[in-house]
Amino acid sequence: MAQTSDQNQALTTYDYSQLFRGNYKVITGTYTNSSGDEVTLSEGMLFGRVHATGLLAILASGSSDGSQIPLGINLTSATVANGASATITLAVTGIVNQDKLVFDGTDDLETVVDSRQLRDRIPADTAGIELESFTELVNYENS
Amino acid sequence: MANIPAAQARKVFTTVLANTFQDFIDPPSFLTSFANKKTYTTKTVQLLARRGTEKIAVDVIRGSKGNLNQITRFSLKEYLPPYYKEKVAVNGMQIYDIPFESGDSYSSAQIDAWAMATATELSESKKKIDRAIELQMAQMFLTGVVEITNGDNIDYNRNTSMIEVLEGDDLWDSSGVDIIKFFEDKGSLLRSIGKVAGGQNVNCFMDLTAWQAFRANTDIKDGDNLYTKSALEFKDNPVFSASGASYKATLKVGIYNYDIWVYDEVYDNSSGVSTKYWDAGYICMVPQSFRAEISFCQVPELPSWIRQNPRSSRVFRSLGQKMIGYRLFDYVDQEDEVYHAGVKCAPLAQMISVDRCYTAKVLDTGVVVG
Repeated sequence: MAQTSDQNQALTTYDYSQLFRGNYKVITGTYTNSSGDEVTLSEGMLFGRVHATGLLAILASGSSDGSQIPLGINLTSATVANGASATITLAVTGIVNQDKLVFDGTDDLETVVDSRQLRDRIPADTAGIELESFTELVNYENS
Repeated sequence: MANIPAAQARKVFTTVLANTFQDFIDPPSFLTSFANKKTYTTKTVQLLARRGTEKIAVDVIRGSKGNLNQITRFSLKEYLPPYYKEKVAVNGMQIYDIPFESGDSYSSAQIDAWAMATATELSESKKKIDRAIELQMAQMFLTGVVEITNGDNIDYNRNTSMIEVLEGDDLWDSSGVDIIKFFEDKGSLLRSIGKVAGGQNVNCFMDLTAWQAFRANTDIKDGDNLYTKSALEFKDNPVFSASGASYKATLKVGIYNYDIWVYDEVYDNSSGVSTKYWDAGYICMVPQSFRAEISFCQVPELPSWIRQNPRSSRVFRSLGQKMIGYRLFDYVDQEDEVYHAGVKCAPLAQMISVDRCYTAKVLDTGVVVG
């Protein structure tokens, strides 16, 4: 939702598209924020698992600790303070709207991790995430 | 009984009031006729907008899941209309001059005359609001921005491709101009950006100077592309019964037929200067599928159990007209012995199909607006 307004008019845009189309299984795990800043974990954010600790981490293609491999997709938004830990819920199966995935940094579906694009890794490396693309049939009003 | 002075009595035999000329001018309604009128009981009005696309299906492999589609986006717009309040006042001294009798014993005819005179003043005040609405429509078609004196302007964010200022050989009075091509090209804009289906009739109105350049153009003079409609052919077009514009001809070029109108109406601005509603050298194309609304919103008002309507029935009945969207009011100021009657209104020329009209400055005269 985005909004602009002044004394005599207001414009709000809405997008009711869904991240999940259903049929998903979830796992929970612990995420520890050691970034040095507060972190917002968005719905649709891709997560991997750090091999050595078993902790969940935001998927980053440049990592080599295991978090570069997709494990699941975050289901709910959360804000985690620096140094704090949070239990988060990931979907590891289900049909997902690929346009609503949230990537870290410059990563996207075409980012290559160990000789494979993420668009191929997500269905292959997770328990059963299926990516789908939707065609939006309408647009917003001029703004 | 009072005596009639000799000078006044002598007049009865020497002069007569033969005619009266009261120049009460009706406001034009041509631009307003492009909009429906609707009243609301709320302070603001909202519009939910979804812009359509024209996507096409692509064939898929048999046995595949097919393509998924969704309609999940929309924009919600909310407007607070400008508020107009126009009133007249009748004070005790004015009433004192009217009756011959003393005290409060006025005849029915005198009261009717007073009510009619007040109603006339009120009716003329209401016309000021009607003119403001016509001007709102003009601003909507000219720039897409309704200007508000006490508040923020309302900007409908028209697509910049749909408002153009022509230059050089494109100007209608230049020797190299191809006006037929202009209509064909701008029709394509209405089709691609405005999503106006081909084959529709498009109202194209212009001021007098633009019309003079149009009719002087060689291609137009040849007249092969022009024909004139009968009134019957306009039966579904409300602009034909509106006042203020003159239908000239229909131009049959490109993917639409353009009904050419000349609209050169004026109003007196706050300085008393006669000013055009529609600026010199501008034209506007408005297709049949264009949508706008005059949204009459609620005006500030005390509830009826507090209000007093001391003279309303007499004066308001004398108006003799329906005023949908306008709220009449009156009250008596006992201390100052003044009777106030007025009309208040919160109308907004609301552009619903924002890009379904095209505006161009076709002459290098006057000022560029917007």
